[in-house]
Amino acid sequence: MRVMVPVYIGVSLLQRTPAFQFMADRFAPAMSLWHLPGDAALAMVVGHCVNLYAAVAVIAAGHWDPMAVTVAGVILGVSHNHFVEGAILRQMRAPALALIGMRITVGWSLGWVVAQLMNL
Amino acid sequence: MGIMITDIAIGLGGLLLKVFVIIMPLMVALEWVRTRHWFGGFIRNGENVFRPFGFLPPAMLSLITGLAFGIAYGAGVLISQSRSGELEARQIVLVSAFLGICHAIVEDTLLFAVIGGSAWIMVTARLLTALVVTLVLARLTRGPLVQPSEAVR
Repeated sequence: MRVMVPVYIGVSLLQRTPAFQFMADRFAPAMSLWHLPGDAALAMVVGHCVNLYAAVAVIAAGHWDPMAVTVAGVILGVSHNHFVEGAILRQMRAPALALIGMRITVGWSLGWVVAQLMNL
Repeated sequence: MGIMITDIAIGLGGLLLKVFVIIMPLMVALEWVRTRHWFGGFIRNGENVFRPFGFLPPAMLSLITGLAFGIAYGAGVLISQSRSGELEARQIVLVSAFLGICHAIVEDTLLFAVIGGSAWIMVTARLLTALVVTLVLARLTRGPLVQPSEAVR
């Protein structure tokens, strides 16, 4: 929750820089496979490494359309916060690395399916 | 410059307000549910729903706690059940696979719903996928992993 304030402000400021736009444009073709905007790449990195509150702050700062939010919600809902949750899975004596790999694979695959279905 | 700061402040204020007003009360309500005696009955009823997917009754506490509250928030229950021997190795794999895909179903869904996402699409997609993946895993591991010698007792 507390992470949302700095992330939202940081991303809102960064968005106005040419460097951010340059990076977003580089990622746009890949992200468009999931019908997501270029800045989704940042939301995905933040969501996978930090948590969903931070990712939602990035997305809110980008003012995405509802369909893109839903697709991101599916990908990140499945695959997020891997450092913290991976540590807990290890504590559970579950195969943490395999599970993280599975979550990333399932998350992006499911997100792709949902994106295609929503954009028929 | 002034307009930019106003834009950011309004956007951020709106986001925080939505998260506070919608998510916080629900998390408090969920915490209240956990302390009720009928939550135990709810968990027992879960057995009938989840048994076809390979889950045994002892896994219900971890499964429903994780599903409702999340992996980080439910970590206490998840770790203690796994380590105490209440769950055999195969159950730990099934529970962690299911929860990996689908956990904290209220909080995660609402977070994206308050910024415009479709809650029912996100819930349905995650829940169905978690059930299918667990079912496949349960079928694949039915052989050696259910031998008594494999159970962590």
